[in-house]
Amino acid sequence: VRLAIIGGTAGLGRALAEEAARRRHHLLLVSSDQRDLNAMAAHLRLVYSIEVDTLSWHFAPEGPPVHEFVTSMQSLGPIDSILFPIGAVRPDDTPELEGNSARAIMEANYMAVADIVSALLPYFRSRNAGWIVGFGSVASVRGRSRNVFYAASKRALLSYFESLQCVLVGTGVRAQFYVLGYIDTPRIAADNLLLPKWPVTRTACAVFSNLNLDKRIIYYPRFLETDRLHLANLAAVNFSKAKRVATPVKCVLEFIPAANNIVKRCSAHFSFCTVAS
Amino acid sequence: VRPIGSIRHELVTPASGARYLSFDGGVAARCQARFPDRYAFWDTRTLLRQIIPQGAGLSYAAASFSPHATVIEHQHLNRILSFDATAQTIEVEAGIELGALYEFLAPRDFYLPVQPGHPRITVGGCIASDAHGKNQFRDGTFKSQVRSLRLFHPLHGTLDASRSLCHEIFDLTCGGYGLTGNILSATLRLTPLPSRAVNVTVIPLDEAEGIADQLENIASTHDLVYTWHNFTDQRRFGHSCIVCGAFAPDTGSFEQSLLQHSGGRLTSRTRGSWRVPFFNSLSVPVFNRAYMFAGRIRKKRARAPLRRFLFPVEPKEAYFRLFGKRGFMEYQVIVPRFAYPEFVRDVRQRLFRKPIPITLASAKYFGGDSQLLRFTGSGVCLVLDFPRTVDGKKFAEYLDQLLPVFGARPNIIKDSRLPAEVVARTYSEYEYFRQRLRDFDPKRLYGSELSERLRL
Repeated sequence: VRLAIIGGTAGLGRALAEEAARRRHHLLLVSSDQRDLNAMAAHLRLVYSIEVDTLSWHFAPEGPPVHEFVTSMQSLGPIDSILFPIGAVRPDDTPELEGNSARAIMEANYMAVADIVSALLPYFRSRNAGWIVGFGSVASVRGRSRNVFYAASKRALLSYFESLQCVLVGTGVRAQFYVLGYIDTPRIAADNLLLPKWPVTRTACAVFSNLNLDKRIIYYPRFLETDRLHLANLAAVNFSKAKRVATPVKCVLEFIPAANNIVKRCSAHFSFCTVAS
Repeated sequence: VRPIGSIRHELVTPASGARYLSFDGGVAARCQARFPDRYAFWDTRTLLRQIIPQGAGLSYAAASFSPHATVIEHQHLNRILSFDATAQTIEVEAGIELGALYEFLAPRDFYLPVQPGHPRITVGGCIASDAHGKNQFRDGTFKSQVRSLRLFHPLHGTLDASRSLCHEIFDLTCGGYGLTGNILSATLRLTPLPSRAVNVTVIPLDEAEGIADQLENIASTHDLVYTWHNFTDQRRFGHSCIVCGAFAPDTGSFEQSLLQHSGGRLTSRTRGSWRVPFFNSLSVPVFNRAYMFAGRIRKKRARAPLRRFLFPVEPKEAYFRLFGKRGFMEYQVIVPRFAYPEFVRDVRQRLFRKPIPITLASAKYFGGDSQLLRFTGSGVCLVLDFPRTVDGKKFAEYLDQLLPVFGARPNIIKDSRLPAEVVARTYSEYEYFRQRLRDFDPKRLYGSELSERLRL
């Protein structure tokens, strides 16, 4: 099996590449820096004795068109599945972020993935097999004051993958989408967060274990897995009406499944109050 | 610096950031940290605040953190970049752990003869501290197997250094305590693996003083040699044994155990997870006697699998946990051969006057010249472990006073409390090292608690 990992030299992508190599899959690694690609490819070839091809590509609005990238990728050989553990964040990602920066975030997190998938879809359909795996974030569950464009693009990506899953019904091609919580990658390694960080190697292992399961939208870590997208949105709206609840409590209520009932009750109570008034 | 209970120094630090702890539990600080996993990190020249690299963070002294510096953790820069079986070299990123390197090399019939006893220690850490291995007298220190290295310094960019290229930087970096820059990668000289098992022999001894001759003889013919002494038994002080090992001629049934490991993940933070210390003045004599008894009833000649031979500390991680949260002190010192009996006699008298629960007393034979601040030199290397208590601190201060008298020198990386004055008096090239460091890095962009304490 030959996998393409877009963003396979750092963070979750690197862990996925190592896990794939451990399972003896051949790899096509794509990243923006050829130095990282060389180091990663050399390591995987030496340690796991697999074939690794590399392609350096920078996804940006002003960069070369995506069909060129897809052509370059296909010229390196056939691929059986493709994973998109890519993303871009900025510390100044607020609603006031100027246009070009906002577009760069949207491009890296959403447009690049959607463009590549749409360009590759005929190829996958013709093969009638393969996996397309996207990665989102729990940050996109509701609107927030930070990482605004990041969260928006990840939510767009979720919607895109939901549509993709509808389109691919009845074919041998599968699309999976992960809504990830705090994964212990170097980007957040120094941050003190409310919830524990999940080991990145375990996450990578879970991704490959889940490939054979009939799961479409996967919340990971699993304690995130409920119908809370809707609930959390509802709760957020109602909590912001109340304007009294501290942010940490909101976050905890979002994440802990046991809190769902409380959220439901609160929602019902606030709705009743609104109607009554 | 705010002393806590007189035995730990909790540094006054910024409120945010990760908490770092020296492995012996002696120094704690909260520091800003970065975790690079891409080469683009080194392109940004914004690292103008003081920085310090960190490998596994297992140094007994606080050599890889400081509240005034940003810690650059190398744990994600841990890849194997090239391997040449013909030239017997391997190029690795500095954050690779010795255990991972062993797992790659052993099936290919190579190994590193010089490496410290725990598999989580990184190659970068070994270079920065110029660590020694199982037989320093014969194999030298870690520097002897480093062919070249790639170094990053914000003022100089990326430098390639070896014995022929930028040899001064190479010399300063090996045993430079991470103060010359971030080691990005290193090319190491490999040694063909003679076999996959080691014959270990235990020779009983009755004294601690007159062991130098015997150690030297064994060191020149064996791959491993160290002694173990009981320093807590006043009647039979120094009652001991010599443990020596040599590669077995055939592999036997030890193939399977080649890659076996205990899975322990000891870190400076988890070492003190057992809050209550087990070691004290009552338990240590019993512990030592039991250890000695176990050694006596064990087979005098046994076969050990390769991994246990290379990483003897790995299955004994619990030993460090038994010191509890307050930690321990290790005093490692090279005493010239002629002065060793007298030095041990002085230590013995001090321990008779004011007993200290010495949990470990062990000796190795060292050879070579002393240079810069590297822990090298000719003589007997004695290690003493004891609990981190007020009495323990006084004992360490007593030993500090003995060193100049006997021409001995302490190991800087093993003692988180060692004062600058002691280092200045015992290392003849202390001032020379400082000057060379300033010549290379006039802004002194690299700094740790160790460098601040030693006024480097």
